[in-house]
Amino acid sequence: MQRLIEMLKMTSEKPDVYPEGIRPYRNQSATIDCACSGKCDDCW
Amino acid sequence: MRNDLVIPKAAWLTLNRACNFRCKWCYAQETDYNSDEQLSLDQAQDIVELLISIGVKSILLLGGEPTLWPWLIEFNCFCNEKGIETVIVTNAMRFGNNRYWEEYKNHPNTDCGVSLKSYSAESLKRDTGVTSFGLVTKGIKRATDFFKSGASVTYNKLCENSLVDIARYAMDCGAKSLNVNFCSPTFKGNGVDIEYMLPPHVIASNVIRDYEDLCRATDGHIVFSMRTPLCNWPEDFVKELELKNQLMTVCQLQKRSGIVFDCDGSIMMCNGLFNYLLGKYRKDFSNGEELLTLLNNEQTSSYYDALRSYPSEKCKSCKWYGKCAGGCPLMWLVYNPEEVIKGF
Repeated sequence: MQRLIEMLKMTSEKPDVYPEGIRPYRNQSATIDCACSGKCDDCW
Repeated sequence: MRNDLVIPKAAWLTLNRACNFRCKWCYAQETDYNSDEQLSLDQAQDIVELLISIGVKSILLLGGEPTLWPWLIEFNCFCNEKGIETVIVTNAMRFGNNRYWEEYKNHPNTDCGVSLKSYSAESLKRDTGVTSFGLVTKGIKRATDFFKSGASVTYNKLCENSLVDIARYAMDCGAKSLNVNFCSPTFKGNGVDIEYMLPPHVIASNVIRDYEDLCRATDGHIVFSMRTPLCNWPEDFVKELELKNQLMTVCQLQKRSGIVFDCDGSIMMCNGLFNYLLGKYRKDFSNGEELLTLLNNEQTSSYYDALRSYPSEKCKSCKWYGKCAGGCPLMWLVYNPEEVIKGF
C-alpha cells in the first residue's frame, strides 16, 4: 500500500470537506454509487 | 467531515475472476481470469450477513463475469430471502443461452447493468476475442427487456471513433440509457499500464465532437461518468451536462461510501486496486463491528486520505472542487496533475 501511495503524484494536503460530486438522479433517495443500472424512471 | 465515522452504504462483491471475454483494456487482466479464484457460496452468504448487519441494503455483483459463478441462482434466492438488493454487472453473453436464461429469470437479481464492449461482430472479435456476436446481442436484449435497464461502455482507445455506433447498438438492443465510463490505468507486473487509455485532452475533444450524435442516438439518455478533472472540459459543456442530468462525478472511494470485496474475502478501496488490500474476512475481521473498526482505524484512514488529497494546488481554490474532486486518483499514478489540471 505504501508503494501505491508513493506512486501517486498528488499533493499530501487533505481537504477539510470531501467532495460530494454529482449524481444524475432526480430521485435524490438513490444512494448507490455504481455503474448506472439504468433505472431511468428514477433518473431522468 | 474528515473525522466522521465511516459506514459503507453500498458494497461490491467480486464473485469470481473467470470471464468469457478477454477485453484488451480490462483492469483485471493481471488476475489471469483464474477460474479457481472465486467466492464459495458459504463465504458469499456470510459476507452478505455481515453487510446487512452494518446497514448495507444493496450489493453490486462483479467478476470476472458473475454469470459464470456456479452458485448465482442459489445466492440470489438467499439475498431475496434476506431482503437485500443485488445488482449484477454483466456482459450478458450467458443470458443468450436459452437454458441458462430460463433458469436465471426465475431467480433474477434485483437489477442489472449490462456492460457493452462493441457494436459489431468484427469489433467484438477484435476487442474481446469473442466470436458469438449473435449470442451476446440476444443476451443483452433479454437483459434490457427483462430489467428495463440501461447499458454501460468503457470508452477506450479501441472504440475512439465508434462511441456513436455503440450508442446506436445499445439502443437497438433496448437499453434505456447509456452510461459512458472511461478506461482507467491498469496494474501490470510492477508497473501501471495505460495502453488502451486515451489521453485526457483527446477524450474531451472526441466526446465533444460526438456529443450531438450521442444525444440523438440515445434521445438524451446518456450519462458521462467522469474520470478526468472537469477543467479538462470547457466549462459551458460541463454546465450543459449537469443541467441535462448527464454528468456523474466522484466515486465511492472519494466519498468513502462503499467497500469492495475481492473473491477471496479481501477488501479493497477500488476494484482496480486488487493488489492493494485493506484486510481480509475471517483474518482481519469476522463481523460487522470488526469491519467498521478496520475501516475507521488510523492506518486505513491514512490510505484513504492519501488517495483523497488535493491532486493539484489549483484544486484548492477551484469552485468546482466539490463536484469534481480532481478526477479519479488512479490517473495520478501515470499523469502529473500539475500538467493535466489547468483550472477553470
